[in-house]
Amino acid sequence: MADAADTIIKMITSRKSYNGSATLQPSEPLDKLGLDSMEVVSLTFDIEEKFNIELPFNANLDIKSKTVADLIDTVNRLVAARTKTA
Amino acid sequence: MNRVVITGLGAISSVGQSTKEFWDALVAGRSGFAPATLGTAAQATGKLVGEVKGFDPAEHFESSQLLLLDRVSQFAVVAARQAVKQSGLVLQDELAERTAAIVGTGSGGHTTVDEGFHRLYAEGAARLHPLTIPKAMISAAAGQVSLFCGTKGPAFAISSACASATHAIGLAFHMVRSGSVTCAVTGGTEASITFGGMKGWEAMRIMSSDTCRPFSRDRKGMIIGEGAAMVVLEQLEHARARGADILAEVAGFGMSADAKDLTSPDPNGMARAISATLKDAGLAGEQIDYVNAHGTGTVANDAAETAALHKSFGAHARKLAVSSTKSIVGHSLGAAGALEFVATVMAIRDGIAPPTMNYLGADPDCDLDYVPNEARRMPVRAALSNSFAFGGLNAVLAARTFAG
Repeated sequence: MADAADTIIKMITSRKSYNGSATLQPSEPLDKLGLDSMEVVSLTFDIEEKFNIELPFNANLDIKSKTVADLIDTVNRLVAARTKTA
Repeated sequence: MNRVVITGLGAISSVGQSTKEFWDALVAGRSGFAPATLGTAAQATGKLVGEVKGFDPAEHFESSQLLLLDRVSQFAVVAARQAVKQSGLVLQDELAERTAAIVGTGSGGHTTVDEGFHRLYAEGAARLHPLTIPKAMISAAAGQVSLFCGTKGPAFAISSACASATHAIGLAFHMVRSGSVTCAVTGGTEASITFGGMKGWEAMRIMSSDTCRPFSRDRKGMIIGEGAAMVVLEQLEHARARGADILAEVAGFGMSADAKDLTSPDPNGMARAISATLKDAGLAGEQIDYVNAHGTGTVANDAAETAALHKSFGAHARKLAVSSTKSIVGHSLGAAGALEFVATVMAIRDGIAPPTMNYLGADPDCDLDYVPNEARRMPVRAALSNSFAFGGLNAVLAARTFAG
């Protein structure tokens, strides 16, 4: 699912307050990219719309200790589950 | 300037339909949370809400009146009637003309909008009910309180999301204090546990997946509530002249705006509202015994509010009893500030700080005394009620014991 990874990385790096490196590595933690809480919530919405999935994300809990790779894995898992049941 | 006293209280919430039931539940720490049952709201999240249960509009209104009353106005009128009844005021003649009705609400007639637009968009209805607009308008509840209570002075709505009721009560306080009116029926109301409303909150990703545990470690966000609370404010000399039972005195009101971020709270803005209130009240920080916090249970609010209390009170912050009513009735948005002001008045009157329920233990960012899990008997000589809304709109009320 390289496509999902590329798409998600592009969705992150194109956000207005993104201040990570130009080539975002999946190992980077989500809370160190300069995105404020509302941008993270908007990003979650954009990803859900793009991949037609529901991300179990609570802004109070889930940004700390998660990496970009964790997010990509979650999206891939949810997309796989959706296509399986479809 | 006139001194301003509180002579009536009314409250409708998920823990009961009177001030007594509300206060008894707060003191007992008895939560009103349950899965939503209102219309399709239950499908929205499966999450807990602080819904007003067993509210039968027919007990309070004629069917012809109900045609004109969204749930948000029903709550407002029932709470206002309770407050006016307790005050003993007879709102007739010149007094009616010298009494204001100022009502805060965040969303107005949300049920009317949600159900009406669903019929229109989803079911292809050809027309809306002719009373859709007068039921849904944000000022409907203010108009209905004026109609049902017979107030003929200034009447209008105030809307500042989760600070609406506090702004309403504060402005009414300043009007009574300045002498532009003699009395005011004021507070806040909200009834937005609708499918659309719940989906909107869900999309913000700040709803708790278990319960509301303000200022606690492992807090997971807020629980949406609904309801209304109203108070009767009155010039002291007027209340004295008619021998009214004076519940407490309104001491001060302060406001500020963060001018920073639409949704992230700013401790500096909060602290400016608190300091403005103390100044307006002529109270030193050390005179405050209890703070009814905004305390939503989100990671961001509770840390910012704690920082703001440190900033405003200095060393005295650690001596304050601070608690969140939202741990028991949830966040009733535009009604929250009024329910919490009623709780603050009762805390002063009974000498009890109500608890912050569901508290699991200290969070590194929240290091004050939050009256965890059990009410505390203590003298409450003066107290604050904080409301901090989206938009960075902050409002704080101060009340104190009436000492004659």
